[in-house]
Amino acid sequence: MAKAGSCILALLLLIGLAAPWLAPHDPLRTYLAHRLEPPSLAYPLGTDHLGRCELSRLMFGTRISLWVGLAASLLSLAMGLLAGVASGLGKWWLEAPLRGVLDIALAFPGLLLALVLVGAMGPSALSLVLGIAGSVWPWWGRLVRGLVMSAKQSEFVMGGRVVGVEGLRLVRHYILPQVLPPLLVAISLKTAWVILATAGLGYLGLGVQPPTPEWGAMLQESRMYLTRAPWLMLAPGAAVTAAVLGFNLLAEGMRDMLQVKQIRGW
Amino acid sequence: MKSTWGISLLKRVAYLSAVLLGISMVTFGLFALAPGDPAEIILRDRQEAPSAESIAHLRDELGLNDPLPLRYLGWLAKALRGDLGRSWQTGEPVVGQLLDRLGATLELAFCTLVFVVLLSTAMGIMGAVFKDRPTDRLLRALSILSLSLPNFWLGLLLIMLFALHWTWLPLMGRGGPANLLMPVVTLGLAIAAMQGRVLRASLLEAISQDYVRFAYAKGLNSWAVLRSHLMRNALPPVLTMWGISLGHLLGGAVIVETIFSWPGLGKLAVDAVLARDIPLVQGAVLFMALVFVLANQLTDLLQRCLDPRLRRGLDADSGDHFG
Repeated sequence: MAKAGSCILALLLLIGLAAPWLAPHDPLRTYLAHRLEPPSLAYPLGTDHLGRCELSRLMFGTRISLWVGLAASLLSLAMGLLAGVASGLGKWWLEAPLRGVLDIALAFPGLLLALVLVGAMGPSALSLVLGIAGSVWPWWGRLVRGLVMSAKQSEFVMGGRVVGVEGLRLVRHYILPQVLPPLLVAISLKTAWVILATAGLGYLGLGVQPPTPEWGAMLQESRMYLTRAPWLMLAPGAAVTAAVLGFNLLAEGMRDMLQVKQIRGW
Repeated sequence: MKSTWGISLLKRVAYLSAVLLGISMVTFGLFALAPGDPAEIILRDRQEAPSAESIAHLRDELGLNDPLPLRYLGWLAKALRGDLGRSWQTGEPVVGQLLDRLGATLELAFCTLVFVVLLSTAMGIMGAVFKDRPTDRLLRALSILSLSLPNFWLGLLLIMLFALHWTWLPLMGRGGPANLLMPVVTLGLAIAAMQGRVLRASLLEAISQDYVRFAYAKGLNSWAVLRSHLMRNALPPVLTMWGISLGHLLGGAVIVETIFSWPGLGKLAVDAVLARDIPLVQGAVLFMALVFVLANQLTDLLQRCLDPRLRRGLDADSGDHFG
């Protein structure tokens, strides 16, 4: 399963990187004479309401989704790691306020915080990254905190303490190795979620602004032509599904391989 | 015994109040610090040419010239009395608009929860009973696929097939039970898939326990063991998930409500964000966060009642972020 997942992701990465060479047309060039054309040899996935090549837009859209997905995922991980380790290992005066901040940030359900953050900053790729990272980091904080606390109580770490290992060395050599496998699974799962959120916000009109091709926005545009041009709706949705599926399969495979029990469900 | 209960309850209420205060600060701060002059936006909305004079006048009228902490305190004092201001677009009180939309969100949330509970229980039990056999493998593949389907795409696919192609179901909006069908499936499928997996894992963990072998040794049949021994032990983690997902659903299914033009809180929030109607955004976010926190607290209390051993610590799998 991890193999299937990484194959999908590698393929998407390749398409994203090589989009300028692979794409049959300029994704931004409008050609009104050819609007809403069904798939043909010249336009393998048809054309949209402005006569732009759907396949080329799809290929270039890979870049935004993967870029925002990975950037937001890693940024939130970094923030969450800091907060989680500090509140899991730190002194009480650090632990209590951090826990409070995490609880406050976790009180906004689902996409709500990301929606409002991106809305406040104004739609752009950067505010997508910041807004999504800003809504996901407390999740990481809580996860890391829980992992660190349970690692701290393990006999292995106690043993390290008994022989006098302290501070950063304890974190690096004793706590991190226990925390890492569940984190790897969680990174993959959360990146899947972040890609869903990116496309979701794009669908709501809060993503990267037109004419930049983005999967969520392409789906939003296709809504008007569901009966006239259903292919416009199928392709971007399938692309989002493939990307999310790739990360979910990777996570599933890693979960089995690394025998991670802490992160179930998702 | 009674007094420790009281103290822990008091502590919880105090902590909750602090969290709610923090939520209100975040809510207020988010849009207050956003770029763009609200006065100018309102004037543009009213189709008036924003002159320096009219902007200054409106800023004064809205109290935008006061320092931020003062504005926050004023807003909070009013909010505590149940007044969240008036919408900039319509001029209607925000609280009234929120209450108007609450019914639709409640309807969608509870129906989705019923769908999720039924589907996830069926999937979880089937997965555990047929562990590693074709049925289980198929269910596992289906659930990973459902988890990967973006709900906005699923919604559009359903609309295309059932509302436009076959015209069996109404396209959008709120109305009879037929209107509920597509939003409920769109919203619930991924949640049900995830919870089915949790229930399966939870059941399988319970199956390997000694008391189950003892129950079989007593001569009970599988169904009796499942019903009276396994489910009872596998249920608490699943119940927590149901509670938390109810909180999420009540918090507004932002995307699904938008796709189906469902007149609930989620759609209200999206429209308000897009229109930069700041009092409405603040009100909606505060309200949803409040509902979400209270639902989580209730779930937590319920879980404590059901599971006296309640482990503390690792609660990362309580599954948030449904989107």
